[in-house]
Amino acid sequence: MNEKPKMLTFFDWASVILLLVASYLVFFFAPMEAVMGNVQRVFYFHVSMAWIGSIGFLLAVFAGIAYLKTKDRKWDIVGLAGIEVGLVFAFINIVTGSIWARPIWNTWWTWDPRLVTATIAELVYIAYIMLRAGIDDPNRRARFGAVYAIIGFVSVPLSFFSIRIWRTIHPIVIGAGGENGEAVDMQMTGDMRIAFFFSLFTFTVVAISLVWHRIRLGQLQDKVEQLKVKANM
Amino acid sequence: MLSLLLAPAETTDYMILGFIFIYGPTFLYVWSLISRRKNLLKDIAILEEMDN
Repeated sequence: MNEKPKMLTFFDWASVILLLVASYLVFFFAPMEAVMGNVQRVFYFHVSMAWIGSIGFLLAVFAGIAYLKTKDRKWDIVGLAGIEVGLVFAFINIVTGSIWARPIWNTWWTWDPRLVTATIAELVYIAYIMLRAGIDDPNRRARFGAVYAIIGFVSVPLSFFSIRIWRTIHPIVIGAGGENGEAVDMQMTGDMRIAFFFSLFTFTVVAISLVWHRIRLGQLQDKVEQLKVKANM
Repeated sequence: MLSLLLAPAETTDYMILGFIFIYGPTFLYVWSLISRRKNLLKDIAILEEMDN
């Protein structure tokens, strides 16, 4: 259990190198946006954070279904790993969005559907971490975690589609926005697209590495719990 | 005057702040994973010693 798999070492090094390259592309390769200026560079990583957050929460759904089918606690560990990593990135997504909004919308926060639904999703998963920490029985905790992860995921597509369903000032990155007061799509040049998609790929690799590490941590936590039970007998 | 109006907004400070909040929590999370792992390995060593 303690020996680090070679593939994980590969992902760790790939994450570091890709992060350096992505940073170079964002700061030096992508041109400065004509209206917003340098703050627009935050957008490349901001969207990647939302992407990884959603993938982490989706992983917890699959792990939850797998747990309910098999009752194997390894799936609970996988689900928790997905949600914890997803929470970190979703948090960064909300904060960087707020920082971008200050000079562009002239406010740190506005009650826009995207901002509200993204924050609700974050709070739903913070509640998941807090509530499961209060359950002592590992099997009950795993069952609760599985059901919560599946139901809680409703908040993620709600956040994704919020800018397509309701009137919003949040830009649409994937797919074109409408006119007549609807959200507008981001106009990216070729170099901007390269930086954008490379950032998405980079953070996908970073997230795989982090989730894998968190799974290994969960396995250790499980072992400590078992040893504690054994020591109390 | 016109060139000032056509120039991009000066938002470099916000960009720096944004990237502090991107790299900062990411490295903090990596550190927390390493730290928690070290503590758990210590716990396991103590519990296994007690068991023996």
